[in-house]
Amino acid sequence: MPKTTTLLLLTLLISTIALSQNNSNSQIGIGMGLQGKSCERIPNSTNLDFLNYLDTDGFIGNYAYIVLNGNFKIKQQSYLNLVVGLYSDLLPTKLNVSFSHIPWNIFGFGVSFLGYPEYINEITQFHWDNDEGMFGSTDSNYWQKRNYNVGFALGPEIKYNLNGLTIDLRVHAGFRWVNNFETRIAQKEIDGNYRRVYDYRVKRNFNPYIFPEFELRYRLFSIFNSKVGLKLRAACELSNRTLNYTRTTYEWTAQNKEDIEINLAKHKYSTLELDLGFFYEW
Amino acid sequence: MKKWLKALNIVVIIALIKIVQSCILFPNCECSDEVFYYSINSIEITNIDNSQTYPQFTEEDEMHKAAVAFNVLISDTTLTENYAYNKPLQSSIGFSTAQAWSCDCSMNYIPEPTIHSFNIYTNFDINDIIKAGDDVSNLFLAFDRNWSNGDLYYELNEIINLANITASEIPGILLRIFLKIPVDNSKAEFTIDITLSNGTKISQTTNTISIV
Repeated sequence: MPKTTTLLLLTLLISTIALSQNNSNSQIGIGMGLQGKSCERIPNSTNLDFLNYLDTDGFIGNYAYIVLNGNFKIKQQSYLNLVVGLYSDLLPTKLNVSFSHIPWNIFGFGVSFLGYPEYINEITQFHWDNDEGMFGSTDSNYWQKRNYNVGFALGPEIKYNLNGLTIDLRVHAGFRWVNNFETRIAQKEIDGNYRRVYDYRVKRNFNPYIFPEFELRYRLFSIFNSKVGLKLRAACELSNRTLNYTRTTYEWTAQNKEDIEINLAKHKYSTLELDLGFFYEW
Repeated sequence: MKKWLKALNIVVIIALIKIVQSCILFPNCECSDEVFYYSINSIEITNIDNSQTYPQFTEEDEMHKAAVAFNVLISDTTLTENYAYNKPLQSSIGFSTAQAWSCDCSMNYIPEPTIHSFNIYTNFDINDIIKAGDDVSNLFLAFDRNWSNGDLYYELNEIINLANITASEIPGILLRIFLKIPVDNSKAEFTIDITLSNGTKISQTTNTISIV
């Protein structure tokens, strides 16, 4: 998914630059960003809740990334905004793309896409804590799953220009999800022959989200006909998320199995992104 | 002097050719599909300590009441006693062939005659209901040699049917059998009876196990 998206975005970027080369006010830039995540922990019930094991760090901003961004004027009153983030693996996996149309002075509307990876760690701890008399997992390796978040949203926007200062404000709302995934936890009784296997099949859960985004760009100086400036961006994602799944429990043999649909309570989930960098305008 | 130089050149050229020839990236490794048949004439039983995450062989005759387990090798002793991997010798004059891996072609063994029935009888009472002499075959589950069912057991008849038709790398069937229910007695002992498709019967008894 991230590779396809990146390819599509590159195509979009190249065609946008080609389309916007005769217009002014298009910008590309580079900077640094921090992403903080917070996900409400809900006390474990009898069922595993994957979101209790989501890799979060509050809003300290443990996820640092290099940010490449672009603001392109497609035609009069229409703009394309790209934010591509590269985490420590230097892959362009964090994406924010929005298309804005500002027909009424400073007011308008737009659509946006977001995509970024996340990690779920050590769900085996749930089984070690809850399944008395059993080895929580027969696999002693560290358990980690990398998922990709995707969201599409739309909403109102404001674009304000004054003496080299540009302020963009969008408040978009839409639906988000993560890729579906599967995992197996195998267990064995302590001092006993009993074996049990859990197969988890996590579905693509669609959850609503709100995505307020603020961008400030200020032109610092000019070189020939081009300008260099400072860009500040802040965005947050607010959502109530859940990762419901189907669980198949095998006891002793593959024939002795039971399927259960597990629907879990929603977690309050939020991210905060802060980017700072420079832009080049032509 | 010129003659010596010519001779040296010839030696160097031959050495270079041998070096290039020796650097074989992918040796021809076509393994044969030929099947070898063996006749079962023996059952060997060893104890398994299954108290921890994975079963381990043990020489102790002591098991936990819910972890009674045995390793069972049903084989042709005329072959297993002389069993060795049949790897081709890699000989070469000068330089030996350089390769990062070798052709590890295993043999394909299938039992003939096959196992017609596989029964386990308890020689001591297991609890108030299951008494000495009872057939407890349906209370045992099994892993095969390669743990091919993931982390779950096979039913005993299922694994025997599979073993009869699946080619094995060794001239024998290696099973790990596990008792499903806890033993309430202080001792346990089992007898395994196998009847082959030609009517031959083979039997073996486990050690007497102290239950803790």
